[in-house]
Amino acid sequence: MNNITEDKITGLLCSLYEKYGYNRFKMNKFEQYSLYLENKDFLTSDRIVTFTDNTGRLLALKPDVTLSIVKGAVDKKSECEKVYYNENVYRASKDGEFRELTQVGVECIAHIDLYSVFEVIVLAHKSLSYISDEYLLALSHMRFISAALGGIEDAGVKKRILECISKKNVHTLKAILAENNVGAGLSECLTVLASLFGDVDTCIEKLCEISVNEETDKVLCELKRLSSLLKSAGLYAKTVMDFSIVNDMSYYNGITFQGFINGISQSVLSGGEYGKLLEKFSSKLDAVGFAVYIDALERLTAKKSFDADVFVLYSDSSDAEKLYACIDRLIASGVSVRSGRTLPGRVRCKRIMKFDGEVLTDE
Amino acid sequence: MNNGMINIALPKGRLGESVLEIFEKLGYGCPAIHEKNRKLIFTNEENGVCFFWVKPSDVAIYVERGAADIGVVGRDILLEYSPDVYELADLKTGICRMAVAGKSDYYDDTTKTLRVATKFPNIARGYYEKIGRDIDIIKLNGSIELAPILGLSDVIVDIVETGKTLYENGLEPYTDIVDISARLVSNKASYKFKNGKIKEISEKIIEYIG
Repeated sequence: MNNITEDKITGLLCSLYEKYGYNRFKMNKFEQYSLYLENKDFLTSDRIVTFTDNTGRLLALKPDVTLSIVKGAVDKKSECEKVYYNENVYRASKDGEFRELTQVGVECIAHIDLYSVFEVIVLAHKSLSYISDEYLLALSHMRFISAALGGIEDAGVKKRILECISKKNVHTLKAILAENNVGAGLSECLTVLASLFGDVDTCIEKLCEISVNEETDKVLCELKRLSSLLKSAGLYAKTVMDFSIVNDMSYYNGITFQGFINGISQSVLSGGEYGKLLEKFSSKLDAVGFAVYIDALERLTAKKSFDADVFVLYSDSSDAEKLYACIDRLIASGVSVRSGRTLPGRVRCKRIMKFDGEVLTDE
Repeated sequence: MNNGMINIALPKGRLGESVLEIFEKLGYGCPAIHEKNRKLIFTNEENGVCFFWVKPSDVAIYVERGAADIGVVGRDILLEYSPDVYELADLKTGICRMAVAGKSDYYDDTTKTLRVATKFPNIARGYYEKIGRDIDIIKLNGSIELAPILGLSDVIVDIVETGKTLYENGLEPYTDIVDISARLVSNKASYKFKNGKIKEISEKIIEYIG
C-alpha cells in the first residue's frame, strides 16, 4: 500500500474495467450548459463554471461525466452501453471555491438485470480492494426507502424524514413522526431505516419485519439474491448495509452504494442504479454505475519525502559522455538520480555521490 | 493514533465539562484529563478512548474530516455549517435557543431592508428567507449585543440561554427561531469501521439521557 500512487491506482482500475468489456469513454472538455441546468438535482452542486463560445452558446466545464455518457447513449440509440472513464471534473467545494477533481468510473446503460447490477457491484468491490484491503462497500436501496415514504403525503415532511435517515438522526425523526401523527407501523419502519447498519443478512431480516407493501417485499427478494451472489463471489464479508446512503429519488431507483477505506474520512466511491435519469431522456433503458474519487485517496497513498534517491555532483570539467554512462548505470540499478554541479539547498536526496571524472564515489 | 481507539472531540468550556462527566459515568472516563499539565490529548488505553478539547465551533470540522471519530457539538453549529456527519443523539444538555432580539423599543419597519447582526449568517438567512423578509446580514464574531445598541444593526440573531445579557443591555428576544442542545455526532467512515464501539457508546448515552 505504501508505494502505491493515485496514478498507479487509476491505471489498475482502467485495466480492470477493460477486462470486463467496458470501453473507454473519452469526453469533450466542454458540454452545453443546458444539459446540467435541466438535470441540476443530479449534480452534487448547482455551481458550474460557464463561458460563452464564439457562436454565443453557453458552455460549461464538466461538473459530471455520467450525464454526458447517458446523453450520448440515448442520442445514438444504443441498446447496451458499457463504458468506463477517467476524467477531470470541475466542482465547487464547500467553501465555494472551484476545484479540479479526478474521477474514474463505469456506467452500464442497458435493459438492466440482476447480473448487470451484480457485475457493477463486483467491480466496485475490486476497485476498492486495489486501494486498500481495509475497505467496506455499504449498500442501500432507494426503492425500499421511496416505497416506505409513499405513506407520507407532505413533500416537506418527506424531505425532513429523508434528511434524518441520511444523518442517522433517530431523535429528530421520532419527533417529526409524532408531530405529523404518522402511524405506529410506518413510524417503526422509518426509525429502523434510520438506524440500520450491519451485515447484509442481519439487515435483510430486520427489513423483513418492517416491510410495508408488495414493492418492499420485491426489493427484499432482490437483496436476498444479491446477498447469496456476494457470498458465492467471496465479497460478503466486505459488504454492509446502510440506509443512510440516500440519493436523489428523482434519479435513483434501485441499489445505491458507497465505498469506504479505513483511514479516509469520506466515501471514495459512490454509485447505484439511476434508471429515472434515463426516463428524463425519454429512454426505456436502465442504468447502473459508480465513480471513484481519486483525489480522496491523496491522504492514503505514498507521501514523497525525497526529490530523488541519489544526487550526483559533477564539476565544470567533467566529461559529459562518461558522466552520462555512470548515471545511466545507476538508474538501471533501480534508483532515481538527480544531477547538478551544486546541490541546491532545498533538494533532498537519500544519498549524495560525486563524479570524479571516471567513477561515482560517496560524498 | 491507535486505530482501535475512539477519538472524541469535546468542546472547551462548561458544556464540554458536563458532557465529559456523562462519559465518565458510563465508564469512558480518562483520569489523565484531570491532571494539571499542558497536554492536549488524553488517552485511556484500558477503555479505548482518547479525548481532546477543541474550540466548540471546530468540533464538527474535526469529526467531519475524521481527526475525531465522534464529538459533541451544539445544534447551532450543525445548522450553520451543515457538516457531513451522523447525528447520533440529542444529549439534552447545553439547552438554549436561537432567537431574534432587538432593543426593547424596536419596531420592525417592513418598508426597509432589515439589518441583522449575527455569528450565524446561514441560520439567519434561512429564517428570513422562509418568512420572505429582505435582510442585510452583518457577520460579526463576538459581542453581538453591541450591534443594535450602537445602531450597527436593527436586530441580532443569536443564542439566548436565560436572556439575562440581553435584558441587562436594554435588549429583548422577539422571536425564537430554533431550539438548541448538544448533539453527539460521528464521522461517517468511522461509524462503519469502528461501528461496535461507536454504537456501544451512543446507545449507552441515549439510555443514560433517557
